[in-house]
Amino acid sequence: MRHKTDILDVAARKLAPYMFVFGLYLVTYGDLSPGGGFQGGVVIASGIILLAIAKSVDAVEELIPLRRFAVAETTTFGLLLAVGIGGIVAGAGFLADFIGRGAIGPLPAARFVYALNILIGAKVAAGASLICMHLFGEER
Amino acid sequence: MKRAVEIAAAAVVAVFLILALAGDHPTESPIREYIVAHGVDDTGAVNLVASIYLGYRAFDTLGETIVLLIAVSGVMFLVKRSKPPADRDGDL
Amino acid sequence: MNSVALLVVLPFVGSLMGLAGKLARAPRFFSIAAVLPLVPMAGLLAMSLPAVRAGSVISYAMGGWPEPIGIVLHLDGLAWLSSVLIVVIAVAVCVASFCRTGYGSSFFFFLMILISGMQMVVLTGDIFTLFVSFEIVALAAYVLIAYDQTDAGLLASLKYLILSTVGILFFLFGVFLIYRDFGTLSLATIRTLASERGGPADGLTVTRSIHFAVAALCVGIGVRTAFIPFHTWLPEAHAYAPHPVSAILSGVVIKVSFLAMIRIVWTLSAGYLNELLLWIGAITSILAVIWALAQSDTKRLLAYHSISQMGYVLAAIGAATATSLTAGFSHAVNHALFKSLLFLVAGTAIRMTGERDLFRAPAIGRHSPILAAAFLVGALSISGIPPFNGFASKQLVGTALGGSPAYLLLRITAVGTMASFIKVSRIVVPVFRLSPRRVATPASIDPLVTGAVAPAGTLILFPAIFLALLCLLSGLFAPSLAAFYSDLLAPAALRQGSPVAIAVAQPGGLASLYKSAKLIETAIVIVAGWLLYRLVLTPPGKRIAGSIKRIAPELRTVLLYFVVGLGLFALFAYV
Repeated sequence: MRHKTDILDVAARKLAPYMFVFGLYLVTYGDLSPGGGFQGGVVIASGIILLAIAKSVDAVEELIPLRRFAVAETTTFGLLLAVGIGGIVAGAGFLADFIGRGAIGPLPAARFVYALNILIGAKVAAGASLICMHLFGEER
Repeated sequence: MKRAVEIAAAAVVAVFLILALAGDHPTESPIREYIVAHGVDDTGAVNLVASIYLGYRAFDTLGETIVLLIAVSGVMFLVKRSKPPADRDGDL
Repeated sequence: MNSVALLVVLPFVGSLMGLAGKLARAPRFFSIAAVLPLVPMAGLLAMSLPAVRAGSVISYAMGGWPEPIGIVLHLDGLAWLSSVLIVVIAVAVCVASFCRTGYGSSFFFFLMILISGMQMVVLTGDIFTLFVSFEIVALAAYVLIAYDQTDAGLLASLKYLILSTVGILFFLFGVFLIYRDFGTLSLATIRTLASERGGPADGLTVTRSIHFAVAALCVGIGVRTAFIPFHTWLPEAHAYAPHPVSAILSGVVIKVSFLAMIRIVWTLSAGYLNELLLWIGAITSILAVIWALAQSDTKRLLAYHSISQMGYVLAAIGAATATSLTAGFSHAVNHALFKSLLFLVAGTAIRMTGERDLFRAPAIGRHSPILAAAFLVGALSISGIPPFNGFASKQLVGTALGGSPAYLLLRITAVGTMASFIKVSRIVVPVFRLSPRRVATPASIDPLVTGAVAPAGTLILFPAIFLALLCLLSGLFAPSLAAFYSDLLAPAALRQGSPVAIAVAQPGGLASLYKSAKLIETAIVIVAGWLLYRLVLTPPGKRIAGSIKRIAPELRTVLLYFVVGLGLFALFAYV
């Protein structure tokens, strides 16, 4: 990162929080409006990647250690499997909706879809930023 | 000569794609009708795309997340260990 | 609900263990935990045998959504046999992998993902899930091929990555065409719709694009199965992968994708492809054996033989006679057994001597007689010598092909196979070291004499003995096994829309297998193989071998091969 300007630095730092919020919105409203875990996760990851490009990988690593991303990736994979197996335990089949549905209101009605969206969003955000951080790290 | 062969190959693929895509195709799909009619009731998700990929076809989605997981761990594994392992048992 | 889903979920749980081991830094414990799910999988398969044998299909609706809305797994005879094959080879490969301390728990993570991907390919009744599972298998395979981080391994992995991505794009295109015309992704529903429309034989525009869809799907799967002209990635990928990975790639990965292709051809009643498959199979087997004969790298030679033996399977299926599925399937099973055995033992020999070149490698026979014996069992099996299993299934393939002219090519292939296994056996027994090169290796620098040969380790003996025993037993009980296979396959083939009814092979006992005519034919093959072997070692033979060995098509040429293959399949579909 040789040609760094203050404009890039400031803009990235101002922009990244909005990207995180927008990503979170996409993930959490995935069951109601266009969006979902994959899309929202990628938006969150692009916020992290923006910081990594504008500042440096080390700066991001100071904020959140890379190992934590790896742990998040593994944990969410485990939780996804656990949700799937939960369906088997409940007798409805692998990856079946065993949580049930709530009423339309302030809380999400499609709890199962909502839970999966959150898990996938976390997994994609962690995974996509992990790949990029490792590849950026390789360049140094 | 080489160029001519390559252009011919590209032409073959193009003709294949055009022929495969040409023609009339049915527009009705029983599955789509079912999902439009029952999707919200079945899964509770108002967004029908979510009801498909996290409801009816959640298994495919799990598969796709696993694809991502392998990609991540593959990159981590191959990038991290730039040092060759100690016992390479005489492979090239 | 039944427990079919566990066949897919258990290896995923195992892979999670492998991943956890990487983070928890207790690799040994988690490595073992990662492979343990293979045990309940074997138990599940054993428990479901009676139902499957009775001809019933055990279906499992993922998430409780029935076909065609959701994804349904089907365990029928075909899937059961393939699943058992995967588990057997996987167990052998896992034990062999523990023999080397270099593999951490992340190795087992990728291995278990590969296994569950294959289980998904075998079980799924949905064409898009098939695509996803092919991707899972391929991605796990890329990493595993490059796992040792050798230059050749990384290059082979990259080549495989590029080519199979091109292939899978064609597959995805085919899936799109099918979904557009049938409006469903479930194979069973597609089958019903296709037969309602009178099959793709009637001349509607809709069905014409289905022909092209079949061609595109066949190209996509062809790259994974590696028959000519899609074979170019396989020799490198299988030769430079870590040894246990070579065993599982050659043993089951290529076969599983081929089974998926048979199912698609049946489902879309694309029987017109049979003639093409028959000839591609015959040509694949003979060309690959010529390449194999020219190789001097032990694992490359074995890899070319994988292509060649898949040619047998392809030709048998393409023959589309009453015994052809049984013949093709028995040969696929037998090839899985002996080829993983050969790769495991050859890999161990390479590890012991540190030499891949079979002319320069010292024979390990004196050092580890058990491994040498196991290797010879594998070599005799693949060369079709009684009483080992290769003999039985090659005879069955002969029955399936009948008097087809393609069988002539397979007979020549048998001679080539014999010759190249006389050649490769020199890595275990010094008996075959009659070549002039022997003079060039004085005893003083022979690693065996100087003691440079590393010990084999005891753990590798278990899979070697296990697989060698299976080779022998499946040869001895070949007639009853063939009857068992066709028992299982017949209802599955019928359900999946096979155009030819599978005749249940009657167990005729060993006497029917060892007819004098067949034994004489085998004797001729042995003699001809020996002559060919001597011929290859003569100076002109070596020159020819050298020039064949140097043929290494560039990437753009390989992509041209793909186009030729696509054109062939499309042409057969269109005419």
